[in-house]
Amino acid sequence: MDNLQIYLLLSSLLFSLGIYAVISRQNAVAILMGIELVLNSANINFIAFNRFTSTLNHLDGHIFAIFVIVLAAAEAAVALAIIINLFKNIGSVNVDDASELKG
Amino acid sequence: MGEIIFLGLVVIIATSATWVVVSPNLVHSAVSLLVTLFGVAGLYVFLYADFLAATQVVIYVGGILVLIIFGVMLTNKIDKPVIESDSSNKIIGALISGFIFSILSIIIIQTKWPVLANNTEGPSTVELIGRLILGKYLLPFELISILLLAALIGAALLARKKAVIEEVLESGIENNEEIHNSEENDKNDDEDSNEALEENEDKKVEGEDVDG
Repeated sequence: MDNLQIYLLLSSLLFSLGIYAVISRQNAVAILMGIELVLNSANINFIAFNRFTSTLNHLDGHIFAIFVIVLAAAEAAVALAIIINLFKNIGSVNVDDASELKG
Repeated sequence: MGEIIFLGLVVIIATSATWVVVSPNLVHSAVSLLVTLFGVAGLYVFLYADFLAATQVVIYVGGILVLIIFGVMLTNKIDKPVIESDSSNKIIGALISGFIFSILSIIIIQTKWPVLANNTEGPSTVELIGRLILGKYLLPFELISILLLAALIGAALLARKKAVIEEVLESGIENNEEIHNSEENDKNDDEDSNEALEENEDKKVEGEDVDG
């Protein structure tokens, strides 16, 4: 609880699970979930370092985490629009089926 | 007491994140992602980040997760009882991510982190974050708001039908009269909704005539 390393270990676990999802999943929405896990692990790192290695009135890590959350929201919206278009064009969201550039 | 809650949070986050990744049912993945995100919000509370914990719950759980569940529901046949997600490259993926995790944990454990001694809980972070956003980080804040706006407009445009997109693009180039004509030409493509639109526009035109 008052140990920086346990937060870092947890966030690296989330990071590697997200990477595993991106590599092994075939459904595009599941890949998106993996990306969300990776972004969350980065956020945990930002906040943990901000709490343990900066003085009380410096909250720059929090600002970075807020920016990451905004980026995640934008990314999720665009990614879902792309996935829905993919489903309309090829009839599935399996990323292995999306092998043609021209729709 | 706090330690027990913290360890419980860690266990919950680890198990639910694992289930997000390995579950064969996509809806189960989405629900356990919900648990993971709530757990991370609890972790922020332990890191004295009250504003971020609330933000995490509102934006991630209330926004992004709902979007993901929408994605799951819109891209699968509803009549199938189980929405499946196949996995391939399991061995390669496990090797790569296990390699990354082991390297990272070795580094994390061996490094001497420069932890400050006096990091007790201060006052609420909301005021300080507000001052930072509207002071030191004003320009990045405005930039990211423009980025978010552009991303949302782009997403709305991407998810629409092709005919609608062409219409929007045409309206940027041509004037209103020409759109009206082209709509009449395309009348056969779209049925009821387009006709309703047409009627509305006709009424508008008539109204303008009366006014003129």
